[in-house]
Amino acid sequence: MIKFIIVEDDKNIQDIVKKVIRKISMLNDFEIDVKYYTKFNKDLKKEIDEELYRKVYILDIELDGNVSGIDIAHMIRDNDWDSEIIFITSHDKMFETVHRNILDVFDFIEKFHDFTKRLEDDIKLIYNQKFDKKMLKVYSKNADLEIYFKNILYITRDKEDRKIIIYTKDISFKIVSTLTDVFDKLDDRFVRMHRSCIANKDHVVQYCFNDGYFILDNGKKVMMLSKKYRKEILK
Amino acid sequence: MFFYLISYISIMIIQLVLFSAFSNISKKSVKLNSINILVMLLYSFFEIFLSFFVSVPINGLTCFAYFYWYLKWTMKLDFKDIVFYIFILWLLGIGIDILFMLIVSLFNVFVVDVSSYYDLMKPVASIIMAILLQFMSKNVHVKHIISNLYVKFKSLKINSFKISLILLVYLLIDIVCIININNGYNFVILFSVTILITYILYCRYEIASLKITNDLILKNNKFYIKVIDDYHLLKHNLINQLLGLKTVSTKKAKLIIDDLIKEYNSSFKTVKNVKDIPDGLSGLVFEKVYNYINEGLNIVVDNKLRDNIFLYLTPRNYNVLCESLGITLDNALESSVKSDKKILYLQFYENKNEIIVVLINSFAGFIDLEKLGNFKYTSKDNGHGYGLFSLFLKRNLNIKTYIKNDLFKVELKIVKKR
Repeated sequence: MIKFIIVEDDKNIQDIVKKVIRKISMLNDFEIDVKYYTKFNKDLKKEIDEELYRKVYILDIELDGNVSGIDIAHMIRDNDWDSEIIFITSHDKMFETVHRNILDVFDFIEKFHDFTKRLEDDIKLIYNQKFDKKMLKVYSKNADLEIYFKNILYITRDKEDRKIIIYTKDISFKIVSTLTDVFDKLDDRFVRMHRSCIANKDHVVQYCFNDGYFILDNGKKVMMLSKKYRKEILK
Repeated sequence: MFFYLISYISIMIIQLVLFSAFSNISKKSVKLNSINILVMLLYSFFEIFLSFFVSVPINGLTCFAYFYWYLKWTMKLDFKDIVFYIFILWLLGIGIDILFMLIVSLFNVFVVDVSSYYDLMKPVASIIMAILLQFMSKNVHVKHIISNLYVKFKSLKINSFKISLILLVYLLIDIVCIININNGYNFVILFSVTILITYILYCRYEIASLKITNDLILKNNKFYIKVIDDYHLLKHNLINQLLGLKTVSTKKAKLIIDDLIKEYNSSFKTVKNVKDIPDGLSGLVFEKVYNYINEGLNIVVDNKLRDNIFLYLTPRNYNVLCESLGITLDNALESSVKSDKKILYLQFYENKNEIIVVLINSFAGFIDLEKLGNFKYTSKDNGHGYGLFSLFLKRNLNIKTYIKNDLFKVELKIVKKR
């Protein structure tokens, strides 16, 4: 079941959102529960803290009272990075770019510009993505690290230290762990490519077992592919 | 007459030797000419007069005043430098004095009692000590230690007034001690009162100085905000004028105008956002951000503090916050600019006991999680790795760092004043 939580003080917008959600859920046949709020209150706080269901929040940024949609989003993200957030807004691009990243916002939709169509497309996308929010969490003395599984390209063993290196699109992280330990924390999309390498199959576009390399979707060639793991990789 | 002559000659020799020793340790040369020597001769007369005919021992004051003036006149040195090197000579002199007195005491006890020849021995002993000081000043190891101390002294943020105050206190204590040398009880009381008075004066001076600085900062902040508003208006009008020009331009000119509008829009928004930072921090943040104003950064400020920052924090904690915000902001800006997303988010809010500042920036590159925050570890090309390390050591600051995908988050918590 997916729970939709709408926080919007404009009754017309609320009605539009209600209609869109009902339409999409009927077309795709998934169970829903919808809750409506016009501003932040104790009941909304309880909903935010409750962890049973997957949620989609549709928030207006400007609300009555002292608590804005952004503040509500911060409260959501204090403990919950699994739910999706969609903002109804009329703010500038810089505001959207920053908040989209720091709060992992799914989309910002302008009220008076293709609102219904954008909302429909977003809800369909959310449903089809199946809430892929699994994270690898690593805690160290000075910094905690959290990376979405979907962002990890591959992981290798560091030759010099007793550490592993996690590669994402623009960043590599060196952490204290073994490949075996980290492999146990990951899911089925990750496979052993080599004694010293694990890769995310969703990002691999080509395997060359004879030459010992695989190619990622960003064009990078990684010379760590062993025939020993061929069966498992191609399963 | 003989004693006056001996004393006169000893004072002359001591002057020459002391100036030579000063020259050795300060690495500045002393040029002697007839006028300089005449001044020394005159001073020697003056010292004899003071020591034999004036009952109050103000030698310390006059000696320091003379040496300071003479060195300033001949070597053209800075006030602080002269005071520093005189202090070093004084320290070396005390060491030699103590050693010499021990030797003389042992000599008195085990060889022959020379206390009856005190008047003759005093100038001779002074000459010997001055010569020993001269030898010490030429020693390579001593010079090396003095050079290192000089570097540390120069790095102290202490102005001439404070140095003068400390000197005056020392000289007064010197006189007080000499007057009360035979009365231990008076001596201790006078010494303690002098120290207490100096401390109170110093604190009052510091408070007054800080108030002036704070008033200036607040004035500058208001000025900055006015400048930002004017800049805001100027850019807004400029962009509109460029759009007007575009309607009558050629194709090539339109491309150039579009580029200009894009550039002005990006820095325009950066400046606009920084205005929301609380008073007391806006100047610091703006100065840091200004270096990156044309880099296309996406900066958003979320400020929930209603008043200026001075009202929330003690002066000490305010300094800690400024220092830590400065360091983390430098890191955040440099990392953000190198990333594709170029995001920087600043949040200021409070809870019951603390002021909290959150910085989130996008970054790219390589991070060793275990070494992050360690001494000399840096992910920057030209960094030295002291910044984050020093913040983790601060007692009044609670700092936490998080990395989520390609975003680096730092949370600074400082206790509010009660």
